[in-house]
Amino acid sequence: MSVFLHFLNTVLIFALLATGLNLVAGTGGMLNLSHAALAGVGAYTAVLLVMKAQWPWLAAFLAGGLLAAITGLVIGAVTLRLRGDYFALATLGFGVVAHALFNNWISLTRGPMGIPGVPAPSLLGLTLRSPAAQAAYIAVVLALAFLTARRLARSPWGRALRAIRDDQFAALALGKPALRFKVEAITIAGFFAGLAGAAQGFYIRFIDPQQFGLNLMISILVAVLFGGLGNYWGSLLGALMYVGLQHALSYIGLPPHLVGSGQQAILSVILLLLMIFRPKGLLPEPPLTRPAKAGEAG
Amino acid sequence: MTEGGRPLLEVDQVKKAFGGLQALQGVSFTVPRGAIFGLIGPNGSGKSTLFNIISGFYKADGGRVLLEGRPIHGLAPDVVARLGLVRTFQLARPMKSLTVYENLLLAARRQPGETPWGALFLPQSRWTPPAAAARAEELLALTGLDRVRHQSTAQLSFGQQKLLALAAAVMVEPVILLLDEPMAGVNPTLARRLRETILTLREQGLTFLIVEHDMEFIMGISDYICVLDHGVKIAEGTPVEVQQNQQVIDAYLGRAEIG
Repeated sequence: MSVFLHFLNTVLIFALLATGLNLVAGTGGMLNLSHAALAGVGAYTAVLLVMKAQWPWLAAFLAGGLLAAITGLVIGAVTLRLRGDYFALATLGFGVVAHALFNNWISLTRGPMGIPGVPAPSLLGLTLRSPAAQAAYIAVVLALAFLTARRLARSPWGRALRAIRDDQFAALALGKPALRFKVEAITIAGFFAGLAGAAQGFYIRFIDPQQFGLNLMISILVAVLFGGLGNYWGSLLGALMYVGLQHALSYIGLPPHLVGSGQQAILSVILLLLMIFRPKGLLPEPPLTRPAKAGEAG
Repeated sequence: MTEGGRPLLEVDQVKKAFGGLQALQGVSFTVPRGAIFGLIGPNGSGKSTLFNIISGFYKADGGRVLLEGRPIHGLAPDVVARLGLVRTFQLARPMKSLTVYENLLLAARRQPGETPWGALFLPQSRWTPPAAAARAEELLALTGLDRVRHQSTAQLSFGQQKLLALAAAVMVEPVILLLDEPMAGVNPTLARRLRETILTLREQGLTFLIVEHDMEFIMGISDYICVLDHGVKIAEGTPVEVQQNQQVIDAYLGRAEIG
């Protein structure tokens, strides 16, 4: 398998995860730490539906997104009454519960052994076995997610979500049902996360609980912060940079026992420098409307 | 409800305690439709608490609040606002990441683009009703904020932020506006503008309930005034009646006999 195509697939999946998290954490200002777990829900749902229920790939893939969205909706409805740090902690708790479920519901998930032998996606009689074909369909999904998220963020819906992020009390006083907007954002982002998790499962052809743990959560968050909260081009760039750095660091010849921790240490330092010198990320959140052309909504 | 006889807002025996402190001990008053109603009292008299209860931000321990005859106590603040009772805050709270114009559009009701479905599948031209955009233009002109319409709210002066808060509240199409110290910290020029704006909006049919410390302003603009002290209503009437009330004078100037 070509190194470049593997890199490309990893970036595309990662960018899909980052785009979803950006809608919640960037435009919505909610630190949802269950995003990686939602990807896991999507992955297990889609893979199991194909392998155990013989669903057609596309239906299973979409069902993965849908169940992750529903899970997001439930998490949002339960935790969004909490504020700030408490919300983040509660969603982290949900992530831990999901992880425990993947690990311990052995009859369904095979626990830590994971599920090997996941079949390649097949669509309209075509089997998307090659990494190039996989990259192509994931790119289409990413493009749709990107356009959806950006249009939402620029719409009156996104304007209200930004306002709730700025000052929830003031938004309530203007009659905006804050909870509704926030739950909708988490649900939509959950759909993207579920699709990303499913895409990863069908790409690597193996899923296990570790893929969707805290490590992934932190990585997505770093990519979104890297690119810039609230900027959707930034999430693509952040994903590219993050995965790029990670790959680059694997070539610098660290001794084998230091590869993992060394990479993490170097990435942490880079992130720290970024937060100090560019706290809004590489690309800051764009204004809602550009004043130059009045009457035309950005 | 019949429009003629029934008062627009009825506050009935509202009680609230914070721990051992009786912030409100059964306060009642009614605001007639079309009136400017002043709510005054020394610091700590319970005005802000009452504002927060009426607008749904606090739950009362007892009593009722009726808007056009309909009970609104216990409803969430956003529901109260959509029923037509909209408040501003003592420190204006404009949305920092939105421009002046976007702050106004944000506040408009019934925007098809405010659901994910509408945002994704309706053309941009149908995201916000034309009437809302037109009303925003009117309010920009009325408040004099049209010159700064595309500026971030962070660049506004304190007084401009208060004008914006008033205009945004009007965008919600309220039947009654609750203003929390609209004059505090506003320079004289903008204060005049604010006053004129309030009077114009009243002519357009709005009712006002205003908490204010600036006595000259509140006595000059109000039709009726209610005075609170230590969570109790101590006087109510026209500005002239209230100013001559001995209890009110005592409350403001201090009472030698009470420790």
